[in-house]
Amino acid sequence: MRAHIIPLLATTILTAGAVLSGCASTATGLQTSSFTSAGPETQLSQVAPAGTVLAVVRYPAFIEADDEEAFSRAYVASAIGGSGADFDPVDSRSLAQSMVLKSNYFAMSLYRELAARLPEHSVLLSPHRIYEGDDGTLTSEPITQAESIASVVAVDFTAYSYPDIEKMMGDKPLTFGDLVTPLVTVRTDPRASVSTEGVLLASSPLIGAASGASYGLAIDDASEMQSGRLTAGTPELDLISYMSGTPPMDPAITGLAGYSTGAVRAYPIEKIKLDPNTLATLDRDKDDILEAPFTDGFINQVIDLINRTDATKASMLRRAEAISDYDEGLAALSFVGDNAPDYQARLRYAERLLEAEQKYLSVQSLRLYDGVINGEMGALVRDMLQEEHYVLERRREIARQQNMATAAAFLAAIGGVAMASQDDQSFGDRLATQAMIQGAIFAATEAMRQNQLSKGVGTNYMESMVPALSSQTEIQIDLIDSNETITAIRFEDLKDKLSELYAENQRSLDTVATRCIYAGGSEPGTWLGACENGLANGAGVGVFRNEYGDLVEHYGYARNGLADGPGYRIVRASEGSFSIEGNFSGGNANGVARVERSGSVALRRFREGQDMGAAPAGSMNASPFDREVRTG
Amino acid sequence: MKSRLATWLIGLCSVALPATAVAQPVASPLTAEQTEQCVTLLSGFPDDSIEARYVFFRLNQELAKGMTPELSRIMADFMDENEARRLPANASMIDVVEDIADPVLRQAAPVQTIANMAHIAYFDALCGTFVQGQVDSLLAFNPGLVEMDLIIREDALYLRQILVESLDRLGADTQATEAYTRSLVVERDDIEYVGFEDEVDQLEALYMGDLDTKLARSNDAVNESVDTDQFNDAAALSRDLNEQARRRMKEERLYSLVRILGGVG
Repeated sequence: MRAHIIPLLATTILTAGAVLSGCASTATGLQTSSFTSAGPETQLSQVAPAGTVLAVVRYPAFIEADDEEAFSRAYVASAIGGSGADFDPVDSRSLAQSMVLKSNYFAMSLYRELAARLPEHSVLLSPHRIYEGDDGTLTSEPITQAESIASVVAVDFTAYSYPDIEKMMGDKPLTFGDLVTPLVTVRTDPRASVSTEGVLLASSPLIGAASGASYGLAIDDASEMQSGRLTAGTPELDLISYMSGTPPMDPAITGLAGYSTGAVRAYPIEKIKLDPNTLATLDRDKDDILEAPFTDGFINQVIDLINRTDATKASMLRRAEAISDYDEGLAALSFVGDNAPDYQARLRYAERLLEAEQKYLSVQSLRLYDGVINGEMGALVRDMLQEEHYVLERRREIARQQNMATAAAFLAAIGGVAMASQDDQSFGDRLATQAMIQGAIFAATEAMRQNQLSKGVGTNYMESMVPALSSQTEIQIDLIDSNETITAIRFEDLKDKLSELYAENQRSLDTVATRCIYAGGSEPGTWLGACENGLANGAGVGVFRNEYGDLVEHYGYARNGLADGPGYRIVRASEGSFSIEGNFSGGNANGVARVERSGSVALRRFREGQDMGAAPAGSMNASPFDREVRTG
Repeated sequence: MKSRLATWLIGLCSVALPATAVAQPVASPLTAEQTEQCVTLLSGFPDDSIEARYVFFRLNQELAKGMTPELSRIMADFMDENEARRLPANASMIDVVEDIADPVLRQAAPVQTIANMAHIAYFDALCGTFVQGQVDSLLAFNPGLVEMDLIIREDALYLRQILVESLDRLGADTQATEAYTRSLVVERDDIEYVGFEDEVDQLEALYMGDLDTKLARSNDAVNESVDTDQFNDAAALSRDLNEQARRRMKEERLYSLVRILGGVG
């Protein structure tokens, strides 16, 4: 009896080890994303102001070669799905490269679907280059001019993978073979959704950083205006804001199905499983493998968000900035507009130029799409996905064998224990016990060997792919760089020509936007718009600091330096921005106003700036963007 | 512009066939009496070519633009004071248009100009539907006719400015005339904008076409330089390594089986 106990104990320990390390997952994924069930098919009802696109699809295009290590460090440090202490640096770097390459490829699915469902020239692609800034912070910037024109929403997309290839078969986020983990954000301008800092929908881990980055950008924009410049900053990719540790904000959150103004729709991390049959025969733009399980439903949400977004507010600063390239005297007047014929006539000319820019840039996006999907770059990514699928299937097969071995080891160990615990064993019993113990030992070592083999398959693949990934990254850089160089030279030329044409044709403007004093804050602020005797007088935008030191933007009308008439006021408070839209007099809100704060939108009554409580049912607020109310 | 207008008017007047020849169904039916009156007014209208007919009908439409009831009343008041200048209800539209364009009449008899424009307003009120029917039919036959619209609008604007000058000379300074003058400014803006837009369209087409071609070539060049072997080699290496690992595991399995069977018991 004692003779059996030692090997039995060893077997049990071995089996326990096999069970602990070897209950292998077969890397499963969802057949469809949560977006698919989040709501019915939505049709576009939004009409964007002239020269404004409806959506820009942003994605990481490449990492600057010198900054790959910095990216890899940040990628590991901010791993979504749990942190780990011992990520292999070579694997993590390859995974980072592979993640960026696949983002280039899968982002085209979003572009394709949006372009199919939205009007011509209203969707642009904006690839970003990732680099380490002078201050040592990881950041990204658009490579093309796509974000130089106004957009109702911007959609960020990344095909994410957890930075540890050994965890591939577990529940960690993964984009490999037939599995895709989309990380997305949908944001509008921070002036259009003040309470969420512009973030409308985001993958759960990104919400805080995306809001925080957008808040910071809004403060920068307001500061620029205070200095007399109309400049709309371009946000880095939200994933990069997250990875670089941007101070987060904490906006209200809601689910995908319910709509709530003032709250961000949160999208959980999902590993989507692509159809293996389609994957096996994937070819050029004939098939969009991401369409059915993800893109269809997601774009439905994007269109719903476009419809619900105030396109005028979303585009006003970027449009004003673009108009100022042609006509500085008109730019600041365009925030709330004017009914004067001279203004209307001049604006029409400027808007036509913005439309020309928009159409021109849309050609570049179309060619980028074509270059990625129909070129060698796309073909290589498809080959890579198919090869990865082979690797993944191999690991799944090993995982199943490993599970069977584990089960066998476990059963044999149980049987061995049961036999060994009998007091009087016959010779036959002893032989059976011995066989069970030997079987358990064999099965347990087999399970552990399978586990090692599985990990080895993944590691072998990633390490073999290092040179191919570098080569594909170079193709991607070549493709975007040459497209952008060709476009930029001609774009500048086109803008010069348009500028000349505008100068030849424009009529005089009775009221010209200038810079003057805007009162009402703790110290004199800046007014960009109509001025008289050095004071704000007419349409425009004012920026000042309130008694708490918060930056305040006021879009609307002024008289003798103070807000007067319909206005839209945004307060960039440190705990989160809020807005008041209604009638103003003497610099303060007076009457019914729409107040938007994190998680709530309500009509309130104001008297000389004091909130007097909820407005009676059926009340309506004035808006500087509603020409009828203004003129009525 | 005057010479172009004169050319048209000559063309308009060159052939005069019975007006009934062009009477066609219209969207809003006129009474038989009204139709007859419209046909009378249009006597002498051109039908030598589709273009000339289109110009004539569109010019009538454009000349009637901005004629509010208030302005018509003011013009009628001038006629009351100048009974001799009042045009007969059946005055031919060809004659009316020719008179407005006549520089001598314009200088010498502003009241005559007002009388002519009043007649156009009267004609538009009575036969507007009929004229629209003619325009629609001609456009359905040849949609390319629309390309002449800008020139027609420019000429009509010129003639409408003559009305404003005439009213001004006669001291008709009312809200209605001011509104009419403003409408001419808007029309001038619109016409100039069409010209501007045309130039932008041409620039757009030129630059977008050029860009598209160059980007397509650039994509082709990038594609041609792609080395696909590198990926294939990597994939083959990965498979080799995995095959080796699998073989190694098989050997280990055999070895451990022997060891277990021999070592235990």
